[in-house]
Amino acid sequence: MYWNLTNKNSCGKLLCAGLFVLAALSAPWRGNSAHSIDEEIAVSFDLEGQEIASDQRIELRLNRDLRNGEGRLAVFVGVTDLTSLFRLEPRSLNYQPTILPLPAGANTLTVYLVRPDDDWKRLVSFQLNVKAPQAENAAKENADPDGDRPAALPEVRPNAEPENETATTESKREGLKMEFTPSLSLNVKSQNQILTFPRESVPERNPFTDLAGQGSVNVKVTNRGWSFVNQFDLAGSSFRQEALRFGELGERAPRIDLSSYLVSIEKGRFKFNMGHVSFGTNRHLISGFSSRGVNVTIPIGKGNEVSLAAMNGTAIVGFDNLIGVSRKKHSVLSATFAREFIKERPNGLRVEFSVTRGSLLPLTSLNQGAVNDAEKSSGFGFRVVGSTKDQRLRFEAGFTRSRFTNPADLQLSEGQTLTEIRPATRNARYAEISFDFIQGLKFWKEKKLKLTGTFRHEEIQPLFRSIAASTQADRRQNQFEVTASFGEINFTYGNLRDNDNLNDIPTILKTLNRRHNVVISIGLNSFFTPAKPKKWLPQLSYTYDHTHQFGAFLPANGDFADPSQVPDQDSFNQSVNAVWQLTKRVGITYAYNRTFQDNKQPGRDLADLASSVNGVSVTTKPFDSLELAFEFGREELKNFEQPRVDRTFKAGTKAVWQTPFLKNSVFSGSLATTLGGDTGNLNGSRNIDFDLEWAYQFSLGTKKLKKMSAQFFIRYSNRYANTIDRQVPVNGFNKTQAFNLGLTFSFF
Amino acid sequence: MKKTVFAMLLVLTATSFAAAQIRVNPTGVNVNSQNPTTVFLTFGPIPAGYVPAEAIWCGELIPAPPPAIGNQCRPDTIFGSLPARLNLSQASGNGGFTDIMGIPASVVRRAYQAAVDGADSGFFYVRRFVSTAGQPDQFVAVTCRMTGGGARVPFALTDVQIKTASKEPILFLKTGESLPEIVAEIRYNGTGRLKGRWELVKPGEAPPADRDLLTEATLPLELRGTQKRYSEVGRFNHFLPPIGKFTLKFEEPAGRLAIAQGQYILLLRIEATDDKESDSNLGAVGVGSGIVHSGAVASFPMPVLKFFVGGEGPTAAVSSTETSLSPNQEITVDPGRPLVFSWSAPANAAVSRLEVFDEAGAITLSAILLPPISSYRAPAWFVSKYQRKKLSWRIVSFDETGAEIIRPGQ
Repeated sequence: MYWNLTNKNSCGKLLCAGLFVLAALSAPWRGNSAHSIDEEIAVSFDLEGQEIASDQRIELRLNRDLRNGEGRLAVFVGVTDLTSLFRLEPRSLNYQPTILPLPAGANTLTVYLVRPDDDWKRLVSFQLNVKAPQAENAAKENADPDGDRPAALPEVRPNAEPENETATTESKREGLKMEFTPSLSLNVKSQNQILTFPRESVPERNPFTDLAGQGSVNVKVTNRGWSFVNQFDLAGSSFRQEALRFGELGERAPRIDLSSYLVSIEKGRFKFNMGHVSFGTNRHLISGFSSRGVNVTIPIGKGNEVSLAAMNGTAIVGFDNLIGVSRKKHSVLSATFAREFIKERPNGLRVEFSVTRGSLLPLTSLNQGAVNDAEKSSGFGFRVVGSTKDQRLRFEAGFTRSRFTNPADLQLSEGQTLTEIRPATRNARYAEISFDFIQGLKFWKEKKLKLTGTFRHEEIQPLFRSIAASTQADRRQNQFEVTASFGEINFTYGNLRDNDNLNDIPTILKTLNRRHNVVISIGLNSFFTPAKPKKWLPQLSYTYDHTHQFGAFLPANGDFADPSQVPDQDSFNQSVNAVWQLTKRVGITYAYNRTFQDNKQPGRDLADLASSVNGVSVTTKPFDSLELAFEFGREELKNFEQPRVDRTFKAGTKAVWQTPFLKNSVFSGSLATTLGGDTGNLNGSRNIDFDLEWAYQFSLGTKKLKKMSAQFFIRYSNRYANTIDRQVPVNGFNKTQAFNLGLTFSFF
Repeated sequence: MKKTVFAMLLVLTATSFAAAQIRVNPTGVNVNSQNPTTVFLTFGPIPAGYVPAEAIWCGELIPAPPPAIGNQCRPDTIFGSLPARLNLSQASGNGGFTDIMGIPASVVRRAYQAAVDGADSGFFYVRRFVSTAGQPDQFVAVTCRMTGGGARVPFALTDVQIKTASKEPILFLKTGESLPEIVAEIRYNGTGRLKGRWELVKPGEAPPADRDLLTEATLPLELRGTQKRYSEVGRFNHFLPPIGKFTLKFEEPAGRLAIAQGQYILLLRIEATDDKESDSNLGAVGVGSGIVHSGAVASFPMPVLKFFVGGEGPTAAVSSTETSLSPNQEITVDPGRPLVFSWSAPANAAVSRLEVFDEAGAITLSAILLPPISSYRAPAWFVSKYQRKKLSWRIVSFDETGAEIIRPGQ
């Protein structure tokens, strides 16, 4: 819940200042989506202003694909949400006419970006002129002699336009608006492990009861086009090993700590973010680097902007290092100047120049595990991105030069004198160009053919590295790809050639890589009858991937003793996926994967492996209150050299029952068993998981600060694992049974 | 006679020394010349009284000064020591010692620069074993051959990062809210099957220890079945070609993942797979028979994703906090709650139209929806614009011919 305070032009300066201070003081904040200077998604419409038929297909072009986590696109015509009639395809949104025609006359077509936190941002609006029914009727008289056409979409009245901006921008007209959304949950939880085997696995604490909690505060203030978003999240536990930073600080970890926060101030293209931020669009220099820090984007004129960022070297939590830039040896500084040469068409031709400097201690991010090092780098890079007005030709290219070295690492040297490591200044470059050879060619049942060719080149010199980008150095690769779509059919063919050891050092192995892949997907259920999909036909996809990797020569003086140490391997990987949505309540998925690894070099020619994976899952909802899921899997791995065949079977089921007899009550149960072993009976394994849970929620108050709900849960879990290896030999049992109980109070 | 006895003693001594000499398997591996590498090694037999000491990478070996046994690193060619943060070595089985050789990129960088200067590109990993009983030190070396990190390099994970769509390290979710897209971005060497499962630590359960988070292949064989298990919420088995990077997506299972409120921890559990380059032959080092398969070894615990579930959500699992509406119901829009319309369309409906009216009877919002969609969530701006206003709504369904379906009672 949140409270919405609206004050129409009556806010005194003192109150405004107070609210600003409150917003500022209530930092740290956090947002549901990290902000970056990534290029904004842009939409274009070729038929704007032109008159179209009421059942005509419409294509909206995107300047780039929608990224994961970015949200979804929504399309309105007038006040009517037509999103479900648009199909998202690579770089386009295609309107599929239904039996309901578009409303006649002049309409406004509006495209929104709906972010994961349900923030609706208007991207663009177009004028959509739909032919009047009389004119169409004349043309379609033969096809529709009775004139009995279905009702059109609701007519749009002049005053019924949808919101043109997000909800917050309403305050542009109505004055200052503030939303304050707190939340707090306190959980008392306990465990009693009633069975443990072997005895050595008995937990240190049994039984135990802990108190934990989490809270958030979100403040959103908008006024005169300015937007302040301020959110912070806290978590705590009475058990120190559950503290957010126990892994880093051990017993010194605070029991209540800051999870993340974001302070965001925006007006138009100006953006200031502090907290958990993301920065960078240069593939080899700094690319989507996410951490705690500060970034600001300042527009200069209509086409230029400067972005600056100072960030911690890795993603962190906690109140220490609040701004993220207090550890100089573990920080990243970066700046980007960007210029749009075609102001009215973002990314029509955009040039960016970036510089980055920073150093890292051998630490990893909170959600990361890695073989890490102390690192330091500085560098610069250019990036050019562009497209023709009709988006038929698209290109992107970049060049980066980076100087990298490894500072001293006491754990690595352990008091010894290591050989000198020289700083290396190296280059990396890439280019990508795509061209739509065929665009929207109609030749069967209104289905359009689109054929796109793409060429990619990338070269990264040996020892190249920038601390804010993830790269594989010493590699040159060229790839071409053909993608095609025809209605519900999508097809991709790719061919990649790459090699390493670019300096041709004779003592280091040079490896060449040749890769071909094919991806085909088809919605069989709707390809022939798009208006009424056939439920018994699946959505089908098939992928084929062949990789041939082989050494160019047997290196001399590299401790390579025989040709078996030089790879010559073909690997084939094929997958089939089929999805049936039989009814609203029953869905079936089948997946099959087959792989063959063929080693061909002398001495290894028998060391081949073949594997297959079959999986079926069925989900059903026999009643509104009951959900059931079943899963079956079979995996097989054949080792030709030993020879040996290993098989694994899995069967699992899950049920969730929201009982109608007791309101706000949920039962959940799952049972899964996995059996594994080889056909020679040399080893085997058996695992059984069983969980049963009941949760009941009740409310104690319903309004604002008095609003409170509570939830009680009880869970029984039973886990059994047995592993046998008769060669070594090993026979291990692992058994636990436990009860967990918890009571949670949620406020506000 | 004396000479014969002396010779026999010498042979016996030599034999006993030979029997006690520590060996390693594999003795040589291909490694990545630009990025980190991780390899599972088995040393053995470890004689009584011997304990492992430091492990060092270097460019050249020299004979260890007697009475020490084996070859040690030439002091002016040392590239680095196995850092404590990556040291997961432990005693194993019948007189064996399992070592996880995690080579940092800075070590191969030194080796690469030496090779550019004309040195042999191969380098060595030398583990020293010291005796607590005054016996001579033993040095055991593994040869590292520099390659591109693809096929013929042991299949190992060198960098694993769990990422969410929002890129935040910890998630806060409302009750009943679905998880955002979660992926594990994996950097690896070699090629092989990535096999494992996603597990979930639920509220109230004791959290896993670091040992429970290691990949199965990182542990000695006898400890692989002893890691604590949690509720399995997904299983995966993918082939990873020799190209070095892979994105593993977490597929949220059917049914509700998180019912109880509180802290959850999503675990990435990686199982050991058969990869010849990662095999360690116990028989070759005299600590048993058979081969330890160690595909998907990693010299660090797998990262986890914490998320907290609490408070009311837009699609609450156990409480209907959203304004969920039945057709023809009059509503007053609550600004604090998402507005969700749900209905049951006729079986022969080809398309449905949702219409929302204001008090004057004018349409304020509509949506065209195709089966099997039977609910619609109003945009946030609509809720904001019509907050506290009275609205009514209805569903109009059409069959394949476009004719409106009249329900009994309408």
